[in-house]
Amino acid sequence: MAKIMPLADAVGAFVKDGDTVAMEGFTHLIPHAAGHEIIRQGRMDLTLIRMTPDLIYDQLIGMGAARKLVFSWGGNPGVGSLHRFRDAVERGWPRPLEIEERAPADMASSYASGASGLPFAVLRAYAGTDIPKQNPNIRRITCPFTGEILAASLSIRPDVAVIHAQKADRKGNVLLWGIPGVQKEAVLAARRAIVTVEEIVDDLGVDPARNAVILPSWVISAVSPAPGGAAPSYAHGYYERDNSFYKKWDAIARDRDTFVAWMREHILETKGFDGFLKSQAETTHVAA
Amino acid sequence: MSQLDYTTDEMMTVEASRQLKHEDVCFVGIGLPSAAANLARLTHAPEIVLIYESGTIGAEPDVLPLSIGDGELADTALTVISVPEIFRYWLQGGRVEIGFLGAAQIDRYANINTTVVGVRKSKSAVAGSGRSAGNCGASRPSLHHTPSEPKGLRRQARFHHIGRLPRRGRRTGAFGSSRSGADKGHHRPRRHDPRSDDARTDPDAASSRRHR
Repeated sequence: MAKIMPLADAVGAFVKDGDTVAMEGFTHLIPHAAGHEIIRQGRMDLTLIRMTPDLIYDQLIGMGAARKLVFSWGGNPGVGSLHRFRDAVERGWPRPLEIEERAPADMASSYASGASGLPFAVLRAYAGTDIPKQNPNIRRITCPFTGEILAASLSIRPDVAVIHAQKADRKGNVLLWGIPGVQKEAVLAARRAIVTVEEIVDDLGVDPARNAVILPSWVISAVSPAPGGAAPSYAHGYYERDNSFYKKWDAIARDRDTFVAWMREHILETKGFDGFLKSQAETTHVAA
Repeated sequence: MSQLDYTTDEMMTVEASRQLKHEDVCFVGIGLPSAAANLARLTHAPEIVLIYESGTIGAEPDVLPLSIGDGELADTALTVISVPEIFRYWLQGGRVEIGFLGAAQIDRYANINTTVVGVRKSKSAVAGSGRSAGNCGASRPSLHHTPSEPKGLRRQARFHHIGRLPRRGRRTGAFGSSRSGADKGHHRPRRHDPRSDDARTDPDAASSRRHR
């Protein structure tokens, strides 16, 4: 059963140095608040997994929290490169970052096979590509029925999955809707799961028309209230994506000193996500 | 020709949109491919079904999305499904007829590189295969990849995320903005990137950089 606890306590209890951590969210519901808390608590040597790493992984990598990244596409969507990610891969700053690249179809399938308790996923992919030469976790398998050569890809089974959702009830049952991404599979593939939520309510009030995904309390380790915790990404029905921040991030992350100063001011020296949002609002106000 | 009043990207967008038909079911990548697909939807192909990797099927955005997971796509979609489902049932299952995606490099054989610039072991620029590698070779769509800059056209792609574009499908093709390679005919790049020349004319130029 999920425990409802402050985010700092949840990260303290369920994210350890050296863990394999999957923080998922597909443009929508990206767990920024939890990512910040992992940075504040100084976690190290993490293997980060995410289909589409963007700003929050740029921050984790830039602060030296990760030793490896498993991913399929890394970038600031619609804006450009992740500069901290590139700096780590290209110049080893602040520490070298190992990368394991997979196709997105592979990652989605490997989460699903991990959630299914299977050792690998089977997919029709990678014909003619160089990726399997770089990644020993992608191999060939022959279909026992037809003889077709298919790709076998090692299941993804993170130590911890971290996601953000709209609501939880007081038992820790979680509800999310809108674009559901791969969060359900990530949680079910992981040994432990932390879910931050916009709000905790008495009754989830499920509206089946909204493509609702429900994660029962007993598959989750901790539920932590974090209002606004997906910002600058969005939470359907709560707030919109802050596209201007994604554009602003390009300039912040391009330069090492600017990045470190920004992280110090807005994350290391603020308390919790409330503190971060407040310090952001103040900066924006001053800038305006 | 003197100064043009449109950009190469705009020209590619228009040309790409013309490849789409009314009855198509199209898997759409962000950026230029998304602009082209929506241009088709708003002009000559109003019934086209646009599918984004975020699981939004039949999206009809009023504003172009900055990311493939924008709320605008979910709000206007016929239905919204999970990411494993989009890959397994819809792409691998063969429910999509055509894909419109971006790429970093395309070579003269239509091999595609979406990640590696430079030699992989020499610590290179990284983006990752994105939607391309898994599904393009795998499912049925014809593919249109659109390198957005002249330097994206290479004699030999540095790293093959996708093998050659599938031959079946008359509309399979690659669009580029260089004078050589996939030039679609009459238009010319407005700006010329000299860095693209060495790799185009000298297949060894790429590997020589290893020793830099």
